[in-house]
Amino acid sequence: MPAQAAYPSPLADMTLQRHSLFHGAAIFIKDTSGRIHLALTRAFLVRWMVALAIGDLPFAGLRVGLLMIASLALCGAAKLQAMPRDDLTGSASRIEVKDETGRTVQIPQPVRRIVSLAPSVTETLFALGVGDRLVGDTDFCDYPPEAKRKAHIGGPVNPNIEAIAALHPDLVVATREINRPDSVHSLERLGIAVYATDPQTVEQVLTSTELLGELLGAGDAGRLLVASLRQRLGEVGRRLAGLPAKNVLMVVWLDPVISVGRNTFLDDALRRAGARSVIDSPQSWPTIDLEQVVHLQPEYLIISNDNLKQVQRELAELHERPGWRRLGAVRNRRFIVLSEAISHPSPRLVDGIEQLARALYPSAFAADAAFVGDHRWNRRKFAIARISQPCFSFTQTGGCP
Amino acid sequence: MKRLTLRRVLWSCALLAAVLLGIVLLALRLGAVPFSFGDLGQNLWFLVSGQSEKVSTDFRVIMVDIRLPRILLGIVVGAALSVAGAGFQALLRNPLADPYVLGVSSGAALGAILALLAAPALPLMTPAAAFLGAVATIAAVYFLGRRQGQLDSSTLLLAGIVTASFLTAMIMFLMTTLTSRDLRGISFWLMGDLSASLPRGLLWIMITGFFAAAGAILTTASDLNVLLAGEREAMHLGVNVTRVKLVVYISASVLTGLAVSVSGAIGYVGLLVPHVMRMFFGSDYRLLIPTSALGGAIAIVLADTLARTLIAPTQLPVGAMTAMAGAPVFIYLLRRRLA
Repeated sequence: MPAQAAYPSPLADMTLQRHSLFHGAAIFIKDTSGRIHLALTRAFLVRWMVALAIGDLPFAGLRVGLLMIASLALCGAAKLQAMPRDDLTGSASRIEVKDETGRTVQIPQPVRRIVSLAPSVTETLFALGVGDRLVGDTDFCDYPPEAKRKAHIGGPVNPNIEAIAALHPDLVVATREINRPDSVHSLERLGIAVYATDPQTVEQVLTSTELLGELLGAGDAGRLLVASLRQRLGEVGRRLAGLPAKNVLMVVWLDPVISVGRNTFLDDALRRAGARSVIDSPQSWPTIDLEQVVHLQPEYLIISNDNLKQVQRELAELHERPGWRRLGAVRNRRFIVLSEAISHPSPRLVDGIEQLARALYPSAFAADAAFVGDHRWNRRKFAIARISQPCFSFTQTGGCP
Repeated sequence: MKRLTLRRVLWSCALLAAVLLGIVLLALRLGAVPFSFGDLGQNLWFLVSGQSEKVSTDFRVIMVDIRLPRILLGIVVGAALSVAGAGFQALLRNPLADPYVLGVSSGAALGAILALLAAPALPLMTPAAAFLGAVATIAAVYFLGRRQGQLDSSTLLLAGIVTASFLTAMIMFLMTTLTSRDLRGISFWLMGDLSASLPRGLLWIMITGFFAAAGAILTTASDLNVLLAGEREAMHLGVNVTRVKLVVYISASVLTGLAVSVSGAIGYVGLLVPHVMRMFFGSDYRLLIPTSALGGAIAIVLADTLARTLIAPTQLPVGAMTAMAGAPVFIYLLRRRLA
């Protein structure tokens, strides 16, 4: 190979001269003989410009055309940028609060139109009695039934920003657990206030609910609600006092097995229901090796799913699978199927905790009229009450200690 | 073969530009919030004629702040990916080359993930870190892909593929071991997604970067035509092969990096559009580069419009859409041409 390919035109010689004229930091080029020399970015630019001016003529026209389009586009962008921004809401007074992720949010007062970006948020808003102010929620918001009739704005991970803006919300409530920072930034850029919750324990679910109530002008309803939830949790705790916790595997997903890690509201909820997750992982939703499950031998498998047909099909299938068959919980059919209440960090979580505690320790809750009465909270709040799905427990032994 | 004349270049580009304009109007019209063409025309006229105070608030927020920037972003990303694809196909002399073959997208994704871990609350961290990741990958692959001090096509290709798979493995490792919940949406990003609205300044940077890098590739177009005959042949015909390859490598990589850092890795466009344009307009790079740019813009705007409207208000990732629609279209064109 020749050391340096010859340039075909005088144009190239000009470029080479420019090399020596300007000395600045730029791109390293090693030529074929292995020597490194500095080629200026400017030299590239010069070559480009010269080619533009005297290069093969027909295409100079094309390049000039490209440049013109470029400058037009730039002007257009600049003009767009200069356009004034509207205040979407038009509300005069705003309060400044810190949300649960530490962001500072300017919230217009009063908050009349709310959009929820997560099923748990939707449930919380309805429980606080501000469901009528909710103007939009996600495709996955199915509880309470009224939530399904609200305008949908897409999924929690990929909300449609356009659809949200068209609803003119005073406030969008997001939750860090499933919403993306990107969505929050996009909304902020449009001047829409976004408040993000981030509950990681049952206690934080309660305080978060109360805070949200305060923010939305439903402080009294929030305090009442949280007081009743605390009382119900206290009741569960009192009944389970002194009973040893049972080892369980929470099956969030079956293929592959996904369970809960230690820093999640769900792990905390299990603990409050007298269950101890056999999985102790720093990850929130760890993928678990089946070997490990067999090794840990949980007493119960817990599944939270409202689609009972699907659950029954899956559970029947487990008996056929190698590995799973070796599991005591599978052999003895110790499955506990809960409603989806326990998998959302909303006030309904307490329903889930009660269901689980009753399934694990039926004797502690035996023949208990007063306890069932507590569900009246549900009926009062929701016009068409759907009491949390009945809990199905396929235990053979009853699981009493 | 027909001689390439300026007239033919301009007519081809004008044709594609007209198609693009039609699709942009359609994309502006369609969306989760419907506007009639009458509304659209009237408000656009108000905007253009400087009577911006007459524009309705809804129109301003949804069109000017959300839909139009998204379409513009789609145009720039599509054009950048297609030009980069055409450039890599010539540089590597491999018809299977696409903008991501040398690992630029994996580097960008790794950068984005690290940014999400370090500072999820900072809005512009993700694209900035993604671009840095892309640049770092470009540099690494450049140093790995040299042979005797020169960029060697096959060494570069191997180095790129190995780097890409290594970085992908790193991403998978991080995603399964790390506990941060802010990584949840990254899978969307990995599939390619145009839904994040960006500040307009960034769009401005994208447009400038695109024209600089695409223009740089365009200056090497005649050399690339010769290069397709083989490196040695090109060198004997007086092409400075080393320099051409370096310009194309850097420009195409920067184009890819720009596109990936704002939209994630949108598949198929960079691979298919140059081939489709070759079928229609021939393989002269002086024509292929401008037509690829316009064709890529058309492809992405069309795919993104479908992604936004098919099951509105839920949006599909645009990357899924380009692959779903792109593969059958390409097979059809290929078979028709062979028949």
